Amino acid sequence: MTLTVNGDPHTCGEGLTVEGLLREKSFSFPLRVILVNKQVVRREQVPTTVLHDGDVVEVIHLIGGG
Amino acid sequence: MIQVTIDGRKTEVEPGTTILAAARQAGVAIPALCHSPLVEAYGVCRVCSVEVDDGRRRRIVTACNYPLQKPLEVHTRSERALRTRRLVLEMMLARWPKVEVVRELAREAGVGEPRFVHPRRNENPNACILCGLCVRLCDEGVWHHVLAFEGRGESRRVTTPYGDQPATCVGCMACASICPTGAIHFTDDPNRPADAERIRRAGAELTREVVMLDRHQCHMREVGTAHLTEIMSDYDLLPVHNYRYGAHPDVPKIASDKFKAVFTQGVADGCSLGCDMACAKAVDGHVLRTGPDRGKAVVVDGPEYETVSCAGSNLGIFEPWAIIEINYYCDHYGVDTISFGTLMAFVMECYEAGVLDRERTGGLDLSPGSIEGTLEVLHQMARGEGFGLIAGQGVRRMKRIFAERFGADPAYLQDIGMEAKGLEYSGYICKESLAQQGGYGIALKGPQHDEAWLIFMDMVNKQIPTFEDKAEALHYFPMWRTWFGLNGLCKLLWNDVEPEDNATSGAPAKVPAHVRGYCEFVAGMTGREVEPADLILQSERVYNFQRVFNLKMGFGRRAHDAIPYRAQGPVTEAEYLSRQERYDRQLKEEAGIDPAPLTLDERRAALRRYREGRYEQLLDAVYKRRGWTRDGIPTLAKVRALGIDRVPGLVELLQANGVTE
Repeated sequence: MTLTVNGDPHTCGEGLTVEGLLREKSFSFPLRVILVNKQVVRREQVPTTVLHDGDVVEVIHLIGGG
Repeated sequence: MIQVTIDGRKTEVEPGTTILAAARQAGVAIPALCHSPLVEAYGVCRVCSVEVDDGRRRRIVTACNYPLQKPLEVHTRSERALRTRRLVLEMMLARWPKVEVVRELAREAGVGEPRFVHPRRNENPNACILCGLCVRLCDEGVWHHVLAFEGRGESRRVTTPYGDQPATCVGCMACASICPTGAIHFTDDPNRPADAERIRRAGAELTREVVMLDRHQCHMREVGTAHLTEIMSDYDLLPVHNYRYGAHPDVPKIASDKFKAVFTQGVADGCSLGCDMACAKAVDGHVLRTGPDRGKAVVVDGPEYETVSCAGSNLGIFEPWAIIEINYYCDHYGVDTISFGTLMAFVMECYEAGVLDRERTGGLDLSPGSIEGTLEVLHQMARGEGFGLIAGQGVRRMKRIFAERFGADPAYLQDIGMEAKGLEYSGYICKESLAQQGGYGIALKGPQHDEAWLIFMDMVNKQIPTFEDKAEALHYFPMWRTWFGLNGLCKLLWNDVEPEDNATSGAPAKVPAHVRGYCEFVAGMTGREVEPADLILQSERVYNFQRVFNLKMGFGRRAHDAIPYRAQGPVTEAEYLSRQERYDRQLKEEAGIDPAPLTLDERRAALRRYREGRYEQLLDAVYKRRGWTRDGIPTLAKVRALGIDRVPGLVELLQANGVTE
């Protein structure tokens, strides 16, 4: 299936969770806001939220750096 | 999962869940007094007593610290449970009859006038009821261990060591804010704020966030900024081998867990009054292997992320002991670890490229990764001798020296020498973030990241795609970050811990709740109400004045915002080839140039023209947004609007530099 992640297409397997997507993208920075189709995914929902073909995912990293 | 029944309601919980947590999950209220999610359960007040039945016997336990391990029936309102709670509250009421929280709980439990006369009856409505919340929070949450119980039985009380003002107290007021009776007051306000309570309220909220949330967020309290090393490598942003690459397979050797294992000091060091973030870390007992203090066991303040990256991965050094030793001697000699790391990375690349050799370095092998060579250069710098005398002058002067004395190509040195305005770059790769290239390049004191750190917004989130978007970010964030400097405040409490609901705040990158907190702080301090825009305006005045000052000192024009190409894109063939797919795709999709028929040299040249052109367009957009001329100088209209035209000589200086409007 194909997702849109931060504006770019991302091809992945069926049944991928948000947590799995973060791993695939190496998105390891902890301060971030995740939206799937404009809906906020809360921290505790990250492991269990399953993505579907065509989902628009935004992983907004907040500002880091010293 | 374990099934428990609480007052007839069934619920399932993980093993180890307390009865109190399970009851809240099941919607059953149990009164509690000495309990707080900020600290470990204690069970001292016994107000949460309930009756449990495991099928064999029934008994009274405290709900807050009873971990559920097997199916159980819990009765919170059985006759025996109620009688126990009433007795506990009756005794408390006998001792502290005027304390509101005790009176309230007693009223709810149906306790009337106590039957006892307590020998230590205390009529103070703000009396300490010995719940221990303050002691435990200072110990477990704040890590300062400033408060403790003293005495036994009736004489038990909360106090500081020897009853004195403890030097280790940073004044975070966590104890006062968690106290359920208002027994703790802070009276020492040396700065005489207009409204101390308003500042304390804002501070207490930050303390709560640090204590509650940091463990789920940045782990600043455990490892400080060193938590960033592996994260930056994940995003291809960690400087490796003089900023050539952004990641390295040996990064796990210098990841945060390696430093956490040797950090022996981690309490807040009081650098900022009231702050509990405790980001500063130190290593005790590091035995030095080199230099004048060889063999001594020393305390090393750090290392932080910038030291691990600039003086570690950027040098190809992946040995924690070596980074700690570089950290120690930099501190010992008064040398900045960022500048030292970045200048050494330049030296190493020059050595690798043949610009330097053993003869020119006085016999030192300065190949990338050379720990011995790196430390020897540092010692020579301090002594002012040998190759250290050259290296110690920094990247900008080394470029000239290497060209003049060793015949090196000045253009190549300019491309790989990571400095601007004479200052060495700090520890982030910015090739893929045009906004950060500007953040570094336009920064008033040179390429440090304290003015703007926009890499995630730009490169990862793609929130600021246009030149105007980037220019707006390069207006707001440098002004906002400058404000911390103006007020002697630290930026870490702004966005290295964030409120639980920041995600839904509308502008999470700005952390609006914390910006509001700083407004509260200013209002509490000065007695004048301020809005976020007022704070930005304060900064804008100073920032523009500093830009004019730079101009006066010969650093305030467009030419001084130029950056080395290494900060913009791949200088060498090896760099291009290491991320060829990315660069080829950008040529095709962004620059509209088909790379297929081009040689590698032609691709590099085309990418360079494209990226350098975009940097110039960015400068145009930023200068326009800031009200500066195309040469990067504040206009007369801008300085008048900010009111800094009244500074003697300022307008004349601008006019002498060709500013007419």
